Amino acid sequence: MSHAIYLKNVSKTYQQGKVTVTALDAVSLTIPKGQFVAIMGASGSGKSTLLHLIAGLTTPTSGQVILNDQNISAMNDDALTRFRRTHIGLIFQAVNLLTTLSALENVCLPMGINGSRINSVRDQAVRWLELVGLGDRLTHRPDELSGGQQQRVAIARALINEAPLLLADEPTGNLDSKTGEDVLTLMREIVTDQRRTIIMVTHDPKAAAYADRIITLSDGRIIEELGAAREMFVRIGS
Amino acid sequence: MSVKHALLGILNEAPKHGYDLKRAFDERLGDLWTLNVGQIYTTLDRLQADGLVEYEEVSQTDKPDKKVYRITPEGIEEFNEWRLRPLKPEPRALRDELFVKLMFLDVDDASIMFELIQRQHSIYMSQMMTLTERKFQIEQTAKRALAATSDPAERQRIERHKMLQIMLLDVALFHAEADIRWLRQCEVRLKQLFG
Repeated sequence: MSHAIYLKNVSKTYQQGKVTVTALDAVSLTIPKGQFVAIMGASGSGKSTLLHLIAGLTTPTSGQVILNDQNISAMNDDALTRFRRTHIGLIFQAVNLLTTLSALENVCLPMGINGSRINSVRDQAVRWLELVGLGDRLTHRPDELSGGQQQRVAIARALINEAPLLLADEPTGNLDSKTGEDVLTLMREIVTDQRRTIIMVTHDPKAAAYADRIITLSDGRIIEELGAAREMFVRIGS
Repeated sequence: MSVKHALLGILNEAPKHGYDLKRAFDERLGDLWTLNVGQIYTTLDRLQADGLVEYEEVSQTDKPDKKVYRITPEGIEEFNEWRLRPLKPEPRALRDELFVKLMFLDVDDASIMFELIQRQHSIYMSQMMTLTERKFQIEQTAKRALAATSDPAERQRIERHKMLQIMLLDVALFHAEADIRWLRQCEVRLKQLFG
């Protein structure tokens, strides 16, 4: 059975002057497809490093990062870029939508610079924006949208390439309580209805509580896991 | 926890016998408070002694007589007065067992203290996962129910029921979150003192 994510003895170290800093220390991790995983830990625990490694934004010092049975640590830049475009959607705390483009155009962007000119791409974008509750804001530009609405545009943008793996870094960090709840419920629905895999880094317990499984890091190592067994009951029931 | 007033409130809507009362209580407050039938009957006895409820024996053909309880005019007055009365301006009682343990902490026990804090943190986090799962189920159930009807009164009823259930879960969630934040803060302070 192939897993969504398989980290095999992954370490990440870097030099800070004469000192070697270990951000991740021989971490092994298996995440099955369709699981919603939260990664928690104090700052400096290695959680962001872990996410960046899974996203292919950095390479491990040792060990392997295997996504969907493919070893991304062994890929060259071109192969990695192609892989990321089709397999990974990113949702970061800083939304970075293009301010001169409408919500619809922003969502079409991952499908190519002229994505919004292609009917099938536009239709897809409309569908995802409707799913995130912004069907009536398609032509709005980012400065005409609230923080929560901008984050939802970013989520639609991350969903449009139908990537099986979604990676989120503090997705509700800038949102008020209720909007955060709506975003997290949407992410939970995506996992349940579309069997995508979501990895979310967060320090917020209320956000982490939406996950099937919570992994806690400290000093570059996994020190605790919660809830893995619960996932079994959710699947059987649904 | 005002069980007496919750029962008065349910009877204010319609007369009920004991088991129906339990069912109504569980349906609305079950996520927060588990009552057994004995507690309900004890409370009903007290309410009856205070003249706030009365009962009628209803004969049934092949079962023993059952008591159907009904709220009295005095009961209605008491319920409405209670319902609209503001809470006393007192801070919530905080009796945290972990804090009592912390009070007796000395430097030799520091590592055990960290372990206790870590374990308590995990317990609260697991509780939050269970509560959030329940919240998600309620959302999905309401979504499906809303999609199945176009009757505005029914839709209102569904939304109201969902809102009340979620508000109840939120109280537990916010408290668990507050406890987690306190624990994290304790950990930071203890590390500063004991290294």
